[in-house]
Order: sequence, then structure tokens, then C-alpha cells
Amino acid sequence: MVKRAAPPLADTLSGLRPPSKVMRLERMGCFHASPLSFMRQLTARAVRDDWQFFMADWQVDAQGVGHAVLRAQTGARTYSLVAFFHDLPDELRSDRVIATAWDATFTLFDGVPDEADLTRLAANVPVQEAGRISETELTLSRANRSVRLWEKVVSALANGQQPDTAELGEVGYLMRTTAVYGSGKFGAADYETISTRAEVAAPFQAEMLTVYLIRWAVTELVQHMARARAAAQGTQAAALDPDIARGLGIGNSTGLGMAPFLMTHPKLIHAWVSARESALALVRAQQTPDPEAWALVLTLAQIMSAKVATWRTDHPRQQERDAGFSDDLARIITRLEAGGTTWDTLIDWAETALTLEGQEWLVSAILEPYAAHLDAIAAEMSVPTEAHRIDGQMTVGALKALIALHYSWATEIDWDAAEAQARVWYTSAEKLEPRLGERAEEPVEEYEQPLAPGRDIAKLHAILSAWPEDAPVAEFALANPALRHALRRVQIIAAHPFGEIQDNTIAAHMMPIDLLRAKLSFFGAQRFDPRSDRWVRICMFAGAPLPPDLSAQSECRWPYWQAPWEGA
Amino acid sequence: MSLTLREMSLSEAGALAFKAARGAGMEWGLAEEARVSVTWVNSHGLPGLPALLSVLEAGLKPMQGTVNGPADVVCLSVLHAGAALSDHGRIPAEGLHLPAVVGSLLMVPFVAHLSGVYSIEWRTHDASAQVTVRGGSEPCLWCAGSPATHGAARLSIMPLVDAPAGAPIARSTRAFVHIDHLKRLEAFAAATYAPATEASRARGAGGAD
Repeated sequence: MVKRAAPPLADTLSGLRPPSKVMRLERMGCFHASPLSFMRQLTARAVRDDWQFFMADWQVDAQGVGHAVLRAQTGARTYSLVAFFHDLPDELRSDRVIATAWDATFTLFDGVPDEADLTRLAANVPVQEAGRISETELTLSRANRSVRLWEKVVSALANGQQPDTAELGEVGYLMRTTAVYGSGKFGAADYETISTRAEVAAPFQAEMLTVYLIRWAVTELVQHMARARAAAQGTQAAALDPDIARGLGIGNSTGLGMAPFLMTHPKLIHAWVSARESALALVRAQQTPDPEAWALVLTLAQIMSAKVATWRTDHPRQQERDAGFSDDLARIITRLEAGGTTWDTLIDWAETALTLEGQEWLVSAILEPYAAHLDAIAAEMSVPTEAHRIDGQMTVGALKALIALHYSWATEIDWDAAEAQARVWYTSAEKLEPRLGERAEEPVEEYEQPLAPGRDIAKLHAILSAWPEDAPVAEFALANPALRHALRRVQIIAAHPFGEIQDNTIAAHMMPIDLLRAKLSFFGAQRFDPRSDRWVRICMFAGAPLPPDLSAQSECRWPYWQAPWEGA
Repeated sequence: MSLTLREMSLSEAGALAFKAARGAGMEWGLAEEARVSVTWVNSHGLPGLPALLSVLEAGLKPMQGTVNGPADVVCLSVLHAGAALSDHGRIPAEGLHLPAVVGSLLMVPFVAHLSGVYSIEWRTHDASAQVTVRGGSEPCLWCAGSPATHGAARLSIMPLVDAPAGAPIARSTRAFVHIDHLKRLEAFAAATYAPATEASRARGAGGAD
């Protein structure tokens, strides 16, 4: 894909909130989905380009075991979700990466699979990481049923009734994915091989399409099993109420596996965050808000207020945040009802009057009226490569100036303090699961991954002080190979300042769920429910029309569509 | 040695290169160079992973004395020399001649980073290979002979005036590696993984049920 040349940094940053404000973990842990989120980009494009969806194959028995092929025809190309449904004993159902069996497994096939493809995939997809997929597959995924809901929904439908909406609202999904691998994992096609295709060029579009089709497959499966049971027991099954089906998303359990991505892809993270900040700046620059746009944001605040009232979490920090967000929304509604101000003034007011949850929701919400005008910004959210050659001709003095500009937060930390380096990011031999250990308590330091850029760049800064200002960086790099990665990082961040989290990622009190939430918000996830400091459950595509029902009208701002349990 | 080939995505091969290089003792920044270099070589249909394996199996030696350029660090590895070359950003008019380079193929991406046209030739006692690279933002590569030589080679990089007339090597979207080589690289990579323990499983990870 031919990328537009990046504008000069000064222009890029003009009018944006500074990285020192945006890229703090506590704030990132309050990011909300927006029209730029990747799920929204997918459904918007599907409507715009008139994608067609088909249930191409359905070979599933009464116990819900078998396979199915669901097809998305995007115009020039066809993508097929190949789904395998399994009979999983309860004792094997685990959301951990180290699990080896699942209720359902999936792959997104590039094209239309033939019998040989299906035979090959049947041997590899159900075993996930233990198998191999090929360049004709774009993703590999798996999901487990909600133990709380699945049987109740099958049973209710089999008896001709709708499931209890209050219980549905408690959970929000019938199945939750525990991984959606793409971008070359386990033999799949690399992103670069599809990056020139308009329909999947935006970040994580193959993964989002996979989940979108999984949600449809799950909706069909639960009704299929209900019909089979009804036939066996001599009852008449009910079809799932369309509003209930639309309100249900696909759950996801996200643990530490997702966290390193935010540190290892600085150019991409910069592209995502700077896109959102650029969109915000664009809206703030309007001198007089359109009354319709103002009214729309007010409506969205009212809807969100009703939705938040239904959210449940056991995590004390998130309970506090949700309560604050609820209060924020009441203040936002009052403020919007009063009218008579600009978006810019509204955002300034939010920064003094609201919690971070409310502030960041408002940032996302005021983009909604202008979603149709954000295509050019959205197109900048992909980057061709993370590779970066060191500029060896830069002087040590210039490098030090960059550190002073972008890493004062890191050089000000007392890295000798035990709490500053309390944690260790490492990879376990057990299915190569990323983990976070306690440096003083576990023998894992020798396996530490380079996921503490603040510490490493502070060290670089200290050693640079002994070098002459006019020495070329090439000489420094040659003499200090252990700091090569930190040096490269500084040069990358100089051109991609939203690519660095400006917090200590190995601090004793760092909350990994903030990392997860930031990334998931860009995906378009909703209902953040931390289950501990290290993993979070979310909901994807809740409120989105199912593929056969997708239309311009149904697609419009679907995250604000209200399910029966959300005050609809 | 098994003749079975494993097909991999380029990113998968690059990730393996990164971990294997680190597992063999390379600094993180050099492991990053290994990933980029192996990915680049694979993307031109050439065997990047075996070249890296030869580098890692030859062993990494500690740096000694004063270093001023690629020739002073080539004893460490071709990746050290390539990184130094790339950082310095130029090749002298008389060319660059490096003795006893293992995994010479991995030098090519570093040269391709420079603008201009260069011949890269490496010669062992019984084999030789020569590639021409036109560097810059869209590098092109021409190859003569088999680039997969074994053992230490004398490597020469010379500026050229023009690129060859024929078509450059076609790009590849996949990497291929013998299973035997793959296992040996994975053994290096495994040194970066902490042993699985119950305590680690219980407290170190996210996700549960």
C-alpha cells in the first residue's frame, strides 16, 4: 500500500494533546472505542462497499459438533470463516493460553476453501498452536462457551421461550474468544501480503472480520442446538429474538499476552494514538459546533449513561472508575443540555471536571458526529514496517537532546529503588506465554524481555554523558552494543512520539490491565471488566447488526445501540 | 539432516531469528538486527535462517580493544559488522574487505540500506557467491551462484557504477527452512524462555476462567 508521506513533526503535533498527557498508563487505561476503532472501520467499509455474507456450509450434529463455513464477499475477494465446533468436557474449559482444547476453533480462509483445504484445516485448526496453517489462512482463533449462559439459552429456546434478558445482560456474550492470532502466526499469511487490499489494509481487519463472523456462527449454533433439542423432546423451538441476538457480542479474555505488543510496536501505536488525537484536534478546531452534532453527543451520553448502569465488575479499581464515569456522564449531560459553547471549551472543561474515564469517553464521543469525515485520518493507522535503521550520523548531543525532549519522565525515575524495577517481563517455556514476574522473588531475571524502555533509555542517557557532544552515534553504538536497542528506540520515538508509554512498565504498582485496555479500545471493545490486575474480559461487536442484517442504517454508531437489558 | 522443509511466514521466521540470536547471547539491539536481516533475506527468496544458524553456531566472542568500524567487529559476527556498516552509512571507494565472515548472506540487507549499487562477494576455499544490490528505499538484488556457502568466507563489498541488466530476484512472501535447522535455531531460542513452574503459572500470567 502506498503511504502518504508523513507531514513534518511540528505540523503533526500542532494542536494535539501532548504525548506527555495522553501516553500515561492511567489515562490509557481509560481509553474508549471510537469511530476510528477497527471493528467500526470494518463494519463501515462492509456497508460502504456492499459486502455480501453467506452461510456456505453447515455440517453440525444435534450435539453441536461439526463444522461450518461462513463467507464474506467483499467485492473483489471472498473470505471464509471455517468454524469447527467441538464437544468439550467442562473440566477442560480454560481461557488460559496454556489450554489445549476449546468449544470452538476457527480460521479465516483467504478465498473459498475446497475439500482438500477443509481436510487440512480440520487436522490443524482444532489443535491451534500445535498445528500449522498456511498462507491461505489469515487468522487462527478459538472460543469457549459461557458456562453461565449457554445451556440456559439452548434450554429456553428449545422450550419455545426467550432467554432471561437480565442474565444475558450480566454476561453479554454466548462465547468468548481466548485468542485471535493473525499476521503470520503459526504459518498464517503475513499482514504485508494483504496490506495492499483496501478491505483489510486497516489494522487488524482480518482479525476483526474473524470475530464478526464468529459472532454470527455462534448465534446460529445456539439456535441449531435448541432446534435439535426441541426435536428430540417434542417441543417447538423459538428463534432467538433479533434484538437479543444483536445485543450479544463475542466475549474475550485478554491476559498479559497482549501487553508486550504496545511496547514492541511503537510506530504502530503512534499511528493509532496520533490518529485519534488528530481527529480530536480536527473537531476541537471547529469554532461553532453544528447543533445537530451537539444534540447527537447529548443523546450518546444519555445512552451511555443507561449502559454504564448495567455494567458489572468485581474489580475494586474498575468499580470506582465505573462509578466515577457514571457521575461524569451526568455532568456531561447537564453541560451539553446547557449548550452555548464549543467542542474545544467542552474538552477543556472535561479536564477539570471529570475523571479520566469521562474525559476519554468524551474525546471518543465528540468524534461520532464527524465519523464520515475521518477516513483520511483512519487511513494513516497502518504502518508498513516496524524496522528502523539507526541514523549513525546523528551526534551524541542531538541524541541527548531527544532524550531530554521525550524521556525526561524516565530519567527522573530513581531506577535504583527496588519498587522501580520490581517486575520482570518474561516468556514462559509453557506455550511461550508472556508473564510478569517479581524480580526479588522469582528466578526469572535472566529471562527478562526488553520491555522496560524507560529504564534502558535512562541507562543510555547516563552513559552518553561521558561522550563528546559532537561524536557520531555510530561510534557510540559500536562501543556500546548493549544499548543499541535503546538508542534505536529514542530515534524511533523522535519521529513517533505517541509510540511510547510514558510510565515505568516494570514498576511495582504498574497495572497491566491499563495496557490491555488501551489496545482493546482501539479494537473497539466494550464492557471492560478486569478480572484481576492482569487480565480483562471484554465484549466485541455487541450492538452491531449480524452480517445478514448489516445496512447503512443498522451499522450507524452500533456501539450505542441498546439491547433489551440496556434500557432499550 | 532431515530434508523436510518447514514453510514459515516471514514474520514467524523473523521472530525466531530474534529469539535465537538473543538466546545465543547477542545483545537485544543486535538480535533486532538479526530479525531484520533474516526477514529481508527471506523476503528475497534466499535462506536467511540457515545463514543465521551458521553465525550462532560459530559462536560469539567478546569484544576486545578499540573499535573503529566494521572491520574491527567482524570477528564478533556478521551482524555486528553489518550494523556498524549501516550505522556509518558509507563504504569507502576502495571497497570494504572483511576476512573470515560466517553467514555472509546476512550482510546483504545492511548494504541494501545504503544508497548506490554494490557488489558483495564472498569466497571460501571451495565456493563463492556474488550478489549485486541496488540500495535505497526499494532495494533490488541480483544473485550469481548459490549464496549459501558454508564456513568462514572472505567478504568484499565494492561500489559499482551500474546494476545488472537482467531482472532482479523476485520477492518471496514465505521462508523455508530444513526441519533440522529449525530445531537447532529453536534450541537457541529456548534459552530465552523461563522454565515452566507452578508458581510462575499461578502468579505470572494473566487470564483464568
